[in-house]
Amino acid sequence: MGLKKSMRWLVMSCMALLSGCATNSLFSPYPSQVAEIKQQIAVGDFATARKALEKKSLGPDRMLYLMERGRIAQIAGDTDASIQDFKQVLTEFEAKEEAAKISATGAAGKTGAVLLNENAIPYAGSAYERIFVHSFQALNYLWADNLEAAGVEARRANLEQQLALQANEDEVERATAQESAEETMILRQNPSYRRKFSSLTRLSSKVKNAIQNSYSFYLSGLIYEINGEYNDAYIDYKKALEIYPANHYLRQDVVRLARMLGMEEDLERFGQAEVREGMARPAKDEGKLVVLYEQGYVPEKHEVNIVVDLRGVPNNLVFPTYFDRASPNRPLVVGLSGRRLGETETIAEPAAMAARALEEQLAGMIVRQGLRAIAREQLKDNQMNSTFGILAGIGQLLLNRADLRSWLTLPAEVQLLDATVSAGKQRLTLRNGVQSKAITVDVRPGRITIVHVIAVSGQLHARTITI
Amino acid sequence: MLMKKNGAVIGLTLLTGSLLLLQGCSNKVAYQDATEVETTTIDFGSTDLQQIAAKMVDSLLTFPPIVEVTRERRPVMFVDRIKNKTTEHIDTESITDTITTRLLRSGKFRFVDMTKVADVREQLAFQNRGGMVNRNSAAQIGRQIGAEYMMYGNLSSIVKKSGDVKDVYYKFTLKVMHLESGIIEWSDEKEIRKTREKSLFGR
Repeated sequence: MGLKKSMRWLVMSCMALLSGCATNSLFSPYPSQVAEIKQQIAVGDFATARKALEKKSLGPDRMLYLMERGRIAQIAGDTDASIQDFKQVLTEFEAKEEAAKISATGAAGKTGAVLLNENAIPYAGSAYERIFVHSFQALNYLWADNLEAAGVEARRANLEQQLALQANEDEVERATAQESAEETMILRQNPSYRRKFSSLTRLSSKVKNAIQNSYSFYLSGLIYEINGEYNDAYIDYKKALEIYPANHYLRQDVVRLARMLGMEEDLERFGQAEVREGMARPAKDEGKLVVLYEQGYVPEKHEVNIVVDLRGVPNNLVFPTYFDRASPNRPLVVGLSGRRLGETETIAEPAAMAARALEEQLAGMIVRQGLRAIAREQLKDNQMNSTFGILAGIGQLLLNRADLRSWLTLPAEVQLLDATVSAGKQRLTLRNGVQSKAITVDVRPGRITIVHVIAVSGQLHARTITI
Repeated sequence: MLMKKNGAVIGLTLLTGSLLLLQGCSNKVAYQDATEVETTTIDFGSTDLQQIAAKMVDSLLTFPPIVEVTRERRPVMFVDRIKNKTTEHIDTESITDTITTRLLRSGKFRFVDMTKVADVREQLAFQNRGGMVNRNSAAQIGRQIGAEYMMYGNLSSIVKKSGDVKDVYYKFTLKVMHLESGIIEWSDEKEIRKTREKSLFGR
């Protein structure tokens, strides 16, 4: 009797401890937390949206909340606040990277997660998210008139892509080399698990991998070009073109710089008409206009029940997945001084990259969820009356939720337009079929004018800068 | 009733126990020698800055043609910026500050500060045209000394990572140009390579 009572106390104090960190996604699924914030963005109430994230950005999932907050500040056009938030996010990424392989804090989170729920592990971020943070930060620094810092972030984005690709290869090798018997068994018993995630694989098949980001390459090319480092710019434009070979703005940029730098061999892969068009040197009274169009939000993860065979017994386990039902992306029609300039073309699909990143984790997730289910069963069988048994029971009944966390204010798709136009203050019109907006741009001879357009919740947010 | 109390006591003990544990990791502040080798992280740090400055100043002051030029007079130099081409936000002005301070302290060179031109212009205008300052004591416009040499450079880096090992290579290049002739009188570079291996255990 006494023992049971004290046990109840123990459970209750544990619950109290857990609720102490209710700033994470243990009790309220992450997408529904962000849904509220998106509503505030839709009505233009950025201050409330940022405030809602303030307390959460001190908790264990601070990296995630700070990414959202930095992006919200960017949508609102508050460059300084965005820089501060993204700076913190990058510090978090670095700290996670520097952390010891076996850490006390990490282990505490993970043991909790074996019994309870993956949402208890502090959010560690994905490589594709980190690359976007670097790229967005580079844009922020351009608006803050700090070209050198923009260059640092652009190079950093490139470096992280390279390191992440390398790490991915290492991971595959390592995983195949040291899989434990139990892990191999779980995967061997479920050979067709990929088929059960058909909408996820459909969405992820749009990109070759989750890491290579042609938007990021284009931005670093642009920043190199602004700095007069044409050779570096050429290399990055070429990398961007490799990922989206159909984007004709990228093709023109590559042709233009190949011509300028005398890379005659590289020109051979382009058609004659294209080379002629790209060859046209900007006249003395012309400048370059770049429209970066980021539209919508990346989809949120959903929870699905998937039957997984564990030791021959079918088990119903929960997993996160993406549904491929994003609204079709529309190009932005750009007009200048009443004349139609052209339509933006796709340069990155963060929605597909997010899906790809999740798909790459599928095998690991199945193994982890499988091991967890086995561990829980054992605890329940052996120690039904012990504290662990009760905790495990609570875990399974109440808290067995899939990890639905991911950066949700990222755009679903990014598109690009760049053109050489005549200098002067002009009226630029932006139409995406639903909304339209007109702004004044100041194109100066030989300079680059960037227009950053973000379309979210039925609104177009645009800002412009001439460098 | 008694049982309930017992339970409360256990719960309380648990809570205070965990609080005590948390207390155990409070911060500690201590002074250190500023020139001591610092290896807190692999990022660009104080030791890198000091090594670069020391090497550059030594190299410049012992370079025979420079020794020759500075034997009888103290040429005037100005510092252009050091271009940061790395993947870190590094305050390159801080590196040039250390270098200029050491060169000044050597008594071989004098410097003009291009970052203060606007302030100086304002002050001179105030002294000469403000009507508040005695003409006899006002510093006159147009009597500053032009720089003979320009100092400029580059900081670049290569970062590699394999498994748990991260390798960073920095290369700092500094040049001194004779402004009138456009000849580069001196140039040197400092290379730094650092590696970091992830520890197995830690916080």
